Amino acid sequence: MYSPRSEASLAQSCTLQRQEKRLQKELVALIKEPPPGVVIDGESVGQSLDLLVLSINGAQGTIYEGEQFQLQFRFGPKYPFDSPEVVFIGTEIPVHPHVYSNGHICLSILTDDWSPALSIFSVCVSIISMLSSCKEKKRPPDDSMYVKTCSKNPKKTKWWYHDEEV
Amino acid sequence: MELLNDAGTLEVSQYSYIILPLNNQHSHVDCLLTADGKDYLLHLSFPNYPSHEGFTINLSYDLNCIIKSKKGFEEKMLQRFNSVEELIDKLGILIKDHHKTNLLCSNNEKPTVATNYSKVLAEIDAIGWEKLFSVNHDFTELKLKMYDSLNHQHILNVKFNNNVPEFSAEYPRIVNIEWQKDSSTLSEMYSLFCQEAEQYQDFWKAMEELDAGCWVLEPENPSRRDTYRKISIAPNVSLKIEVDPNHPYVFPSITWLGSETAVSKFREKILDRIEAWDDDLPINTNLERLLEISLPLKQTLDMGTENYEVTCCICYSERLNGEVPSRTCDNPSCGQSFHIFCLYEWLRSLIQTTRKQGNKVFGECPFCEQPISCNPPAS
Repeated sequence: MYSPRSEASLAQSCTLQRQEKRLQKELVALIKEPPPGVVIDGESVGQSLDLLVLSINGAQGTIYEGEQFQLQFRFGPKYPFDSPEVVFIGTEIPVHPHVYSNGHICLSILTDDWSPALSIFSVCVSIISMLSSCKEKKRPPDDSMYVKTCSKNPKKTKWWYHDEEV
Repeated sequence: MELLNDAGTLEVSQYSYIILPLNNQHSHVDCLLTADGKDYLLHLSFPNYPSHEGFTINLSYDLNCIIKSKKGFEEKMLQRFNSVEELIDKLGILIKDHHKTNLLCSNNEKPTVATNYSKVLAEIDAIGWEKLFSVNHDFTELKLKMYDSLNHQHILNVKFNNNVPEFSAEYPRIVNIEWQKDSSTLSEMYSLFCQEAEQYQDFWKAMEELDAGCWVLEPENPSRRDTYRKISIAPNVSLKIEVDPNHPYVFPSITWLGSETAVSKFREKILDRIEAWDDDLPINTNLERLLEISLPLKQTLDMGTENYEVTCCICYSERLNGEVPSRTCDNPSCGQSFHIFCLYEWLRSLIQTTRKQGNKVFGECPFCEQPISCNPPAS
């Protein structure tokens, strides 16, 4: 005997289940084998599936060597169809031409170039490589203006992607 | 107020009451009101006896509930009366009325239930108690054991819905039954379902052979109801087989799952040699003969089992709403698999790079960015 359920609620619960499943799989893989330079606090992970905070160590031989930053991922209900909201949090915000002093990151894969083929892992790798390839510690030129006027959510910013090298 | 002089009883139209003075001044009395065999207690105080002035009334909990449930009746209506008799009469009518509407005839709650029990018990008697597998607390759901000619056990589920039973069993097809309210019996239906099992003996045998002879990816725990199997053929290639319960050994309907490049050689082999299908052989043996391979078995594949399961690279799951990933990127160096549902949702969300033609969407593979198209998922 099957009881018919409303189509809308079924689709909704499936979407949520699907997101949960993917995030769980991502986290399991991430804890098992984190990208180099990423430290995950196994205890804090999994407490809430829509928020993830991990530590990023400045790679050896780069200008960030010895520094540690906290990177926060927030997953909206449309993840992985929509990109996660990724910001640096805490007192240590890397001084970098694409990182604003409020922690917002100007990185195209976090908005326009997002694809479900990307993952927490690949975002971490991109951010580490963005840091590692930087030669000079400086804030974006429009930092003070941006920090004053921006939305809390970096995804609401219409980013103008400066360049591809750094 | 004569009644208050002595303790007394009085029969008034199917309810009776006793008034008990609690003190010599008669300023406090208890009153026990009995209607339909149920007792209600109220306490009356007359501080200025024999005057009614300043009179108060305390109702027991159940009496209070009755008054509260009575729409349009307020407690202050009880304040207006000329004699205690009149007050009791008011309450008595109220209680009788409540009993009538709520069928709360004290000892006779829901009189239909008891008759239902005995009916069901008599039905089980007829079928035989040894056939009863389980029953729920109020006898509205029964599970009955059935044995077919090969001594397989089946379970017949009976669920009473407003006294009309609904039947279900793990059969590949729904059994059409007509329940005649007055003439049908459970034992009749029971034997009907037992007979029905016989026609599926071949089908179940074929499925058992298939389950034993290859690696079944889906369903996870096949039931006797399931007519399909998704079986592993090679790494990243699987085959969905839909077996006809009435003709289980003829060439089944099949769907290949996996990247086009990996699947095509298997598909062609089957197409080339389809005449060699032998209706007397198990399905898995036929597949092995046609494909000229031996099918992988789960036990032989302890290592790298993940390769054999096709997961959707958007939701990272194998199964979504019961569906497996059935769309694969045609770019041979990519070959990623998607659920139609996931790929369609992604392509549709990209307004700038996606074209629509009819219902079909054309866009880029999220992995290799080569053109990929997708029909909307069947709803």
